[in-house]
Amino acid sequence: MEINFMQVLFQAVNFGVIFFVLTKFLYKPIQKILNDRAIKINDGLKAAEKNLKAESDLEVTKKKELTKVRKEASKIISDAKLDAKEQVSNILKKARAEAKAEAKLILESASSNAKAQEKKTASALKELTIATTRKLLSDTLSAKEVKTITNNMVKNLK
Amino acid sequence: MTATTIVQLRSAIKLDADAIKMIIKFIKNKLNSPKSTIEVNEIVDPQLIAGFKLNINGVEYDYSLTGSLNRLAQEL
Repeated sequence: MEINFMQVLFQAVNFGVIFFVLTKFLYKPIQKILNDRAIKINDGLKAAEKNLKAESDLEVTKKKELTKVRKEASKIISDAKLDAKEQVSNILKKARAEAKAEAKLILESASSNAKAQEKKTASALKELTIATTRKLLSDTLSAKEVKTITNNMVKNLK
Repeated sequence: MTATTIVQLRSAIKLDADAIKMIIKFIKNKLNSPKSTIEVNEIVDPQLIAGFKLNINGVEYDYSLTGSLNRLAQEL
């Protein structure tokens, strides 16, 4: 086999030219694109990591807020229950006092009515008794008895 | 001269003279004037049932059964 130096030289030069052209116009832009892409991916990863951390922080904050809100809600419910209990107690107390006062009034009124009725009945009974006695005496006393009574009254004058 | 006191005597029946005398004696004692003259106006009132009523110078003395019943009614 015979080596053609001219051809080898030509091929070397050709390779050098191609290498230069490729390095100058293809390799460097691709390298730049790859570097930019790597930077972009790295930035994306960092951003994602940051977002994850933010999300995690948010979750913690959310849990803390929820706990806080639950505690506040529990306290509000507890206070409301106490308040309601106190209000119920006050209402019951007031209602009992009102009922007692009303019962007292009714009792007093009933007692007063009963006393008035009793007085009226006693008065009517008294009048009836006196009228009956008067009528009985008028109808039953004989003239002789009337005379005797009258004379006795005269004798007993002082 | 003694003054005459007019007395109204309301009785359930007509009273006899002795009874009237006793009543006049009572009136004189009440007036504290044994020598005064007493004029008795008699009225028979069956409403009294028994007994009598005297009105001496506007003051009434009730000795009737009706009066006793009325006093009893007031005391009850």
